[in-house]
Amino acid sequence: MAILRLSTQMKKAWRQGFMNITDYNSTQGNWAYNNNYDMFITIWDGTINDYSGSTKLLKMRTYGTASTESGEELITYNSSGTTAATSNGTATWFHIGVSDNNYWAYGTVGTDGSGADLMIGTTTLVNGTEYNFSNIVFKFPSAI
Amino acid sequence: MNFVNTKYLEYLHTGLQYVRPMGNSSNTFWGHSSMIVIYGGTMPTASAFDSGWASLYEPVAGSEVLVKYTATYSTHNSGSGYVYDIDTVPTSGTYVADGTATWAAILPCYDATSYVGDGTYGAYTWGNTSTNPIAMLCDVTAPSGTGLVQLSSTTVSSSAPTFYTSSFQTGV
Repeated sequence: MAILRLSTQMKKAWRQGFMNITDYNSTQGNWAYNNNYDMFITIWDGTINDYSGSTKLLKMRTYGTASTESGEELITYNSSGTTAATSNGTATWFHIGVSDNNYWAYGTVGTDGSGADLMIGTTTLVNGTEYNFSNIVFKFPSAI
Repeated sequence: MNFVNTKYLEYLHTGLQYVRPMGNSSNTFWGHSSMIVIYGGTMPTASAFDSGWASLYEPVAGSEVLVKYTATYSTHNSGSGYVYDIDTVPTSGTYVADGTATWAAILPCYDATSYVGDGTYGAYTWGNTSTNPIAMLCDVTAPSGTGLVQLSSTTVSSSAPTFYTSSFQTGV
């Protein structure tokens, strides 16, 4: 398969462009025009990637932070402050996207040390209790 | 983490659109001409390309440059991803040196006359060999091969080979 290898600066610029549309409100920089998509992380109780059969427990806006680590270009998604859960349930999966049926990434939820894509202190979410999340890391590809 | 391919590619595509080739939000990669610089030898790693930019790869003074072309990429959705290709093939190139063409650098910012980039990472100014370039590296072949850049012949001798085509597609 043919490879399109990105120079360091190209990767930074493209990473910034990608981040600007996959979080709530990135700061517009010289690298890339900002487009304020309203992106959320949503946590569900149910079978992964089956949003229609799952119960929505919590929905929070995502904020991205760009960084470089060991030559890798990263986007770290966090919540800003806390948001109250809207239902009781057991968190099993999450997705990141614009709305319930319009998302670009998803994964499993588990307790710390579980190896899940998103690890939290407890998977038992309680309606009305405030939660936040941090450090969902996306590594931008070095080659396309 | 898993990706929803169609949405992921859509955002990857839009992210490329929002890269500012000229430090200007009205310019996009596929709406502005790029320089396609042809080299011989082995395609370097990204970090080796950065460090060798001034002496080896910079089209202004790099010693490894064989030929230079300019062309504008356009884009369309193939259904399985976004394709970037050249509608108008350059009819001529600038010959620099003899050699066997093996790889190329696509440079969207080749004619930048003003500041491009973010001070956090270091500015990039065309022709300033102390700064790192915004570039995409790819292989070069004759039309019988699978290079993302294809020339009528990979042998560069006394003149620029006829440019045949260039196309690439983002995927997961």
